[in-house]
Amino acid sequence: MQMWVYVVRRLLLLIPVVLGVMTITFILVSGIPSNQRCLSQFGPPPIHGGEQAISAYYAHCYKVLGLNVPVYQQWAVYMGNTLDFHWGNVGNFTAAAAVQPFITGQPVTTVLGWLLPYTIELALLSLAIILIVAIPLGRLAAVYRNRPVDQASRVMSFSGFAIPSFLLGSLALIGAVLVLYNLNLASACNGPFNALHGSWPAAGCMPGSVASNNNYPPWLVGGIHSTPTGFPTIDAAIHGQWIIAGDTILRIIIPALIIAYGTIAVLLRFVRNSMLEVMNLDFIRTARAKGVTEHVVTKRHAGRNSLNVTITVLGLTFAFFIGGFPIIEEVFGLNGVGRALALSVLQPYDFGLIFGTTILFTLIVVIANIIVDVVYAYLDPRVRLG
Amino acid sequence: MSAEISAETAGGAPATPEVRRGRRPNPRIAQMKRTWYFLRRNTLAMVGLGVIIFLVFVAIYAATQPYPWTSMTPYCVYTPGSPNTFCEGQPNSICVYAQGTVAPAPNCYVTPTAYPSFVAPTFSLVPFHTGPLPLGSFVDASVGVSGSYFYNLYQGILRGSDWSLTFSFSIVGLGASIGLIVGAISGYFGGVVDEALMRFVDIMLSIPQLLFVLIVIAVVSQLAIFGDSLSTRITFLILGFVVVFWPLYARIVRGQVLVTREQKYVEAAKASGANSGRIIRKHIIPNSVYPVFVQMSLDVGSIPLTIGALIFLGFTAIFPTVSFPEWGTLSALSVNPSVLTNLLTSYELNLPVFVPWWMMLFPGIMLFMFAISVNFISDGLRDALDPRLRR
Amino acid sequence: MSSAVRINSETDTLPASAPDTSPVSGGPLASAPASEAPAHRDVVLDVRDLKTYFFTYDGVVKALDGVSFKVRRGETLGLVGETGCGKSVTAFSITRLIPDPPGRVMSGKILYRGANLLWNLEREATFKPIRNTGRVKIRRRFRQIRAAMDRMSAVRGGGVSTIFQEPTSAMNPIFSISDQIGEALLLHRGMEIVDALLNAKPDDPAVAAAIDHALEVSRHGTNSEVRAAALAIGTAVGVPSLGVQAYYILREAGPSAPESKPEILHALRRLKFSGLQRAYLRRERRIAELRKRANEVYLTEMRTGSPQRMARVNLSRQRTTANLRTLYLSLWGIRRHVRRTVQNELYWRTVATLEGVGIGNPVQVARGYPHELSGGMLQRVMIAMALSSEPDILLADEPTTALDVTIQAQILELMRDLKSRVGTAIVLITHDLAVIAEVADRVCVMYAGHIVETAPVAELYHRPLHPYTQGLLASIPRLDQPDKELTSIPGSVPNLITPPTGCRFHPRCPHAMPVCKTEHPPTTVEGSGHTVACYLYTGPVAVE
Repeated sequence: MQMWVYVVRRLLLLIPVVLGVMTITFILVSGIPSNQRCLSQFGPPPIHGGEQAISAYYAHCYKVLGLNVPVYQQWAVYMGNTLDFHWGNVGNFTAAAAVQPFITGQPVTTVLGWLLPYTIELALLSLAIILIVAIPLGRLAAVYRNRPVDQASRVMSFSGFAIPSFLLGSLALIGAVLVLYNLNLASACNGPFNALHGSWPAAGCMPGSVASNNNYPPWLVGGIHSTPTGFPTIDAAIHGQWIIAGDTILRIIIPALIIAYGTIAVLLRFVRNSMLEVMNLDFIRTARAKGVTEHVVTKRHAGRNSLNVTITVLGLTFAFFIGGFPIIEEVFGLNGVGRALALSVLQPYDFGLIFGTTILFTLIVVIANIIVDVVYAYLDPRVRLG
Repeated sequence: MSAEISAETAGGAPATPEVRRGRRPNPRIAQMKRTWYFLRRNTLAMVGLGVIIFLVFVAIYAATQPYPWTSMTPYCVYTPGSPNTFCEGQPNSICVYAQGTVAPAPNCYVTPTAYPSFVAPTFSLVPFHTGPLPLGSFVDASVGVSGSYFYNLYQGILRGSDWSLTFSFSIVGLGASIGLIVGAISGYFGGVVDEALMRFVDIMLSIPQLLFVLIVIAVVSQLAIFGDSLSTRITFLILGFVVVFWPLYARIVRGQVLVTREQKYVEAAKASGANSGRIIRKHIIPNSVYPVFVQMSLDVGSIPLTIGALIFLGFTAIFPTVSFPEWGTLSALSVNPSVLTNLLTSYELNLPVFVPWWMMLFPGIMLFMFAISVNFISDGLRDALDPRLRR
Repeated sequence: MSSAVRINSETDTLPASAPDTSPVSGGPLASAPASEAPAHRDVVLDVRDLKTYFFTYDGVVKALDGVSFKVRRGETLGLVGETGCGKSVTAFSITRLIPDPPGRVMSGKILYRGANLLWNLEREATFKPIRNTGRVKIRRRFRQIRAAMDRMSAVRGGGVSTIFQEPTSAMNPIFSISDQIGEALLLHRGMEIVDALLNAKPDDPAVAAAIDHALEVSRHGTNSEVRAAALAIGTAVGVPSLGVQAYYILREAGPSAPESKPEILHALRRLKFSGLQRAYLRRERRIAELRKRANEVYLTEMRTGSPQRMARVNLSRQRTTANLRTLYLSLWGIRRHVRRTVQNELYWRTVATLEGVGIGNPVQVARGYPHELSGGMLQRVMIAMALSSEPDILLADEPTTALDVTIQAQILELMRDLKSRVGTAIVLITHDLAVIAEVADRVCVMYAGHIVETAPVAELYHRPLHPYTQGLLASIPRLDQPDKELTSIPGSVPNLITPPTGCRFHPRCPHAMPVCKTEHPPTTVEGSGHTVACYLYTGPVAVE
């Protein structure tokens, strides 16, 4: 069938999945008792004023949050709001708001819009590293099976799998801090460099702490939101501040390496196994029998065929990414959506952010899967038959 | 050379079953023997297996220690001048002076035989102590991290073996069983049942795992109907993980069952009048189980990591007051964000910095050993069970 | 032990190499037919005492234990045997396509054009039998193995090409048919193709005349006349595939054929190259030429057994330079144009090749993918691919087993036709005696890793000597003897891990003698071209 027909079909399948995810999130969150939700939105109930004040507080809270209607109606309202991109506001008394005061009370969609570019920058850098390392290494490991290259890649992939990313990140951070400070290479919290990406090193330069310095450049608002594009590196470049742009990239290199290490661990095995599978197929033998040299057989005949599985796995590793981001961003203090998620599950919970980040992450995963399927269909003409 | 080989192998033991006397061996047992032979030849897998067995013994040893782990007797570091209400008047606590001398402080007792439990951390932004903490005797001294919580590292790691193994194997075992059943039913019956179940599985797999576990446990633990004891919290933890882990197995099994149900022996069984339940039990499931084993061995290693990640994110819903010394937990607590913040702030303020690297490293090393040995075994299993590798 | 007469080993002569330029009409598969009498032709392939073992978990499978035969130029040799007797293994051992972890060619000599394809065998691996288990520990020297495979790529395709049993899985699913056949063409006839492009004369007045003539003929001529006229355009230009393209343009146009001059001129325009494009074409030619020279060096190494290191290093340096120059010092637009032109050329040559194997709609097939074609068509495509490089020998590994009988008949007809037209030697491996009777000139009968009898076809069917052959022929049901009981050879094929000692057929042989258990019988000559390995024919033998 045509390519576009295939694409449309896949997009149509997206809808039930997204609706299902939203429903599941709704079910889970409505299991949380409502006093929790009131707490995070409006703060603790009033101490003075006795029974009347407390009941007034709860009445007001239920009215605003829409909790005084039956569950199925809440569900309908929730679905309507979500599809309308009214995902609520960030609470005023939540842990997330406490750490990043700039986002207090703002609509969740806006806040996510501010935070997403940081995560995207990190993701792109990690992706570049992964592609450059994992695919050639995996192919080499398959071609030279059980030889030193294969054993080394096996060790690398296992160790990447076995080390918790928070530990690796923290140790890397501590190590970097010790090294750089002792070599006097990192300036602490002075100067404009610390303004972007939250802070580096992590959280040492939080607003309000002794050594922080809130002189953000004018195009960076509140330490989070940059104009005009929202991507701090690009904006710094647009405004001509090349040093800041370079510094931005330096800040995300170590986190990107750590994320890449964990993901390469998984991807390497898959690339190797899929390549091995392909090398045992019949048409490789035919290509050799035609007189094609081994190098070309590996690169052209086997490579393009094994790319299918690799791309599928690449799409799946988005899920891995998204799971890893909260941790890495928390460790390195980057202002991305992962950190927002991590902060939103500290007591008191921030339900707007929990909802928002869940749906956002799910959307990303689903769209990534669709892109993967489309690319797969482009590469392999057999898939287009249906 | 080839003549030599011919002579050698002609005189060797005949390997094929037809030539042996007696009953032909059960092909399933023969397959298992063959798998074991290949596993044995794989050094890494054997190392992994050895490590896991060692850890099991450690867990058994730790369980035999006389240790009332539910008690809350803390170790305290008594800093002169700071209000340390934790320690005052606490029986069975050892108090240690910050400068390294161990001496009984007022109202503190020294009880060398009562090993204290692991205390739940309460996060605070108190700066680090100046100077290192004394190590004392390895077994009963405390090695602390910050002013908030302490535990005996050695005991923690010993008992952590128990907890980590229990969590990993029980979660994966339950998840795999549920996934196996669901996947087999879905794959075998096909049609509407298959479509519905697979849509459900797809939805559940779309939500990123960490996120999902987080939300499920947060929600479930809010329901106070089951009481608030440690065992309920452990149950919630395990159930939360199982809910998140089973869809992957269901999908794997379904894929395999789609292939298995087209085999001739299934057709033959149907023709002999077996009902669906019997076919699923006796034919489909035993032949679809192999990719599940591989995936199981992968997941076992990742569970302590995920628990650690949850705790690292500050997710204290599981551990409000009582905790357990699981490795993931220990390593997460040693590098939790507030600790890192303190560390870096101290650098900022040019204060002397105290990095208790042993607290961070040793639970992490144990975790690493566990996860990597399980991964070695899983890789060995996959190579041994791969039908495409002609041996 | 016995004084049996062994086969005389004929001296190996270098046969005349295959023609370099293909004649114009009908494409590359219409070379001059071979015409000499069978028995005195040159030997193209000489396999001597080939041993191939497979080292598995259950033991060492001695798949081939000393196989020897010769293939002469232009003849069709049938290799017959039951499943598991080692026929496919023989074919793969010749081109060294045996998958190396379990399998290994142990010893022997395979002489192709005087070059020993197993020239470095002893140095490739060492073996150590493990006591009491029947398994063997092998240490492979990967550098030697890789060097051997590099040398083999000089022989495969151009010298010895193979077609396989399952055509549906033997083609790469993501490349179109023209890509795959084009790859083979480019590898082996690259120089000639680029030469034709370089020497194209699109502005020659003869071309315009030929075009006009063709359009004239298309008005009211028969199909073959139109075809001849269209091909004449190609000859005039000097690029034969243009003629094919012109023919299909005319055919597509149908009744409005005489008005299709613009299309033909458009096709002609792609043959006009600027100076820069010519330079690129010359670079491509240089790369093809270097590849050919490297192949010749490899052949020399295999022939003499001495590494031609200096020549190799020199050539590899030149090739690297040429490749890098093409890669980095080229303008992308021009390079793309040149590549497109070459690909177009390959496409139309593919179409011509597909015509040669009898495919009715070659234009659509060439553009399509393997999964769109049926098994019979794919087998034709495979044959086209194998023969497009004009090899000396074609190894056909059970080409018709996976196809149904009617298609089988068509493929065999095609192979007979190609045999008379092209003159390639064919080694036809099959278990079907009827196929052998149709196509082969000589037959080798294999059993359990040995060749038990070799004979010209008619001789074998009239006078089978080896008890196995006799059993095979006797088990064929005969229509003219309806009351005859069906006979079969008692017993079953032996396990090749623990084969029977001596003659491997002795457990099932009705004429087994005590001496048959001791040692494998020598091969004796029993008539012109008829050899057999059986103690029944070796004369009196002292039994120890």
